[in-house]
Amino acid sequence: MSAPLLTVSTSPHWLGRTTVRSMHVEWLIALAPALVMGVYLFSYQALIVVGLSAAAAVAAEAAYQKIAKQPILVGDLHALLMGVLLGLILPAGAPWWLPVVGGALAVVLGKLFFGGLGGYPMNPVLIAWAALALSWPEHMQSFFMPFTNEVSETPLMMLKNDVSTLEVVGLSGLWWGQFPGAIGANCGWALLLGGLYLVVRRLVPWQIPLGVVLGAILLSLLAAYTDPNLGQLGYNTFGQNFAIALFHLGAGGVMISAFFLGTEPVSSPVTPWGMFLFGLGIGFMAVIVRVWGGPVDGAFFGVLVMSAATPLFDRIRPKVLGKVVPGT
Amino acid sequence: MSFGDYMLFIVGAILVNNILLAKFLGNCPFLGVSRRMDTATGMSMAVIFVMTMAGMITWLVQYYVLEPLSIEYLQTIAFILVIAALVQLVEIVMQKSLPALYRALGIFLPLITTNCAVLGVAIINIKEEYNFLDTVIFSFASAVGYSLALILFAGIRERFVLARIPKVFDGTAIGLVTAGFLALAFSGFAGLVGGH
Repeated sequence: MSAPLLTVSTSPHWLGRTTVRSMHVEWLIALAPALVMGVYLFSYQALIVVGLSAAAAVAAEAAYQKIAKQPILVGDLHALLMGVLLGLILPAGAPWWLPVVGGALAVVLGKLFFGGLGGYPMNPVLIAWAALALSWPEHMQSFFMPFTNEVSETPLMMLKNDVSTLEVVGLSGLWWGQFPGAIGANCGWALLLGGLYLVVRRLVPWQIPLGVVLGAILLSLLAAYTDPNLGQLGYNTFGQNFAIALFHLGAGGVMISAFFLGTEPVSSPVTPWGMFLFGLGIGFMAVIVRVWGGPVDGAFFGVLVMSAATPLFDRIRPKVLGKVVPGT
Repeated sequence: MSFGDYMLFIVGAILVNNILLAKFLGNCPFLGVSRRMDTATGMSMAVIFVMTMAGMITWLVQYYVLEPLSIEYLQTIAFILVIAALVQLVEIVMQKSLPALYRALGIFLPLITTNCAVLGVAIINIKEEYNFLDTVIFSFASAVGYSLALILFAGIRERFVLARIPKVFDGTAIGLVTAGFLALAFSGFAGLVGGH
């Protein structure tokens, strides 16, 4: 028989080359600058923490899917990406079992219990982070001073007790990660570089990072102008108050939340206005918790709370193009 | 208290000491009616109404009946009785005068009788020695916090229809895991308002 003259198949007839795997490869590329800076600042210990966390995440996913007799989907690299992201928000001085427990928690509790990629309601990485932070707060605060092995306080921890921290911490040093902090969340410029790559490649919508940054700036300015504690600094020009906003942007988890954690595709909204408001909420909560709340940093909690509201944000529908002509 | 203090008081009751996610009261309707958004909003409205009313009336019962007669040990049973009677009364009045709202709330109005968050708020009002205005505000704000958690939770749960959740976890099990996640997220609000 000769070849069929006509092949009939269902759509799609034209496939793009983007796959789940290729998307995660690009995310990993975007995280490379932050990881490199982390290893440069905290030496091999940073690499051990990130490596353990990534290995634990991948191993946990493979083991779970093997036991549950599901197809093993480690090859889509999502578990690897989750492990790397979790490692980047841990302190370099964490004991070896902390990233291992965290990586396994993120994958099994945060993701696989909900049926894997696409099903979970909140970013699994941050679920693991929150569980670790509440379970072992003393280990989750073992941040190293860069280039040393001395555990010391991060700028945000100092800010909790003493507003004059804002005068001691230099902005350029802060943005280059010269102060104690999490492995990958420390260097603002590296995160910005990787994040902009994702935005340019259109893997991350620009509305979310913009919302986070704007939200953090607006709330920092509000705090700078109204909070009596910050008023002690005697700042009165706009430039001085704006420096406070830049401090809040560079410190802690705001930048990594803006580009990598808040933009997690499953648990963030899909409509343009929904995404922007979602980001704004993260920025607001980050600064509210820092200035008035109990925990040291609110950025990650902000992402969790806002992703709980994601189904509601998705109800903000964009206007439908065209209209119904009456009488038809 | 000044106006600002009241605002903090309200924020505290809604977010920081959320009756569901921080105190874990009223979990039964939380899991029971959160499968669909419309039932969740219906329940929320009913809870806001009943919790505020119950808070006021139990306060009056405590200070004008139980304490003068020195029978405070009957508090629990008296409050349950008051709440059950109140719900019935509200139901009868509403059926006659506001049939539209009555139909919208449906089964959830009688269900509130068994909502331990209502009794919990009534008892907290007495334990914290709130005055009458505080009681009204705290009861209302707690109910709003309850509604907020319930509506967020219903939004998330509606989406589980689309997720390939393993059979062993489907239903209440994954609901409880998710409730735990929500509580984790809300723990970020801790310490926002001084006090507890």
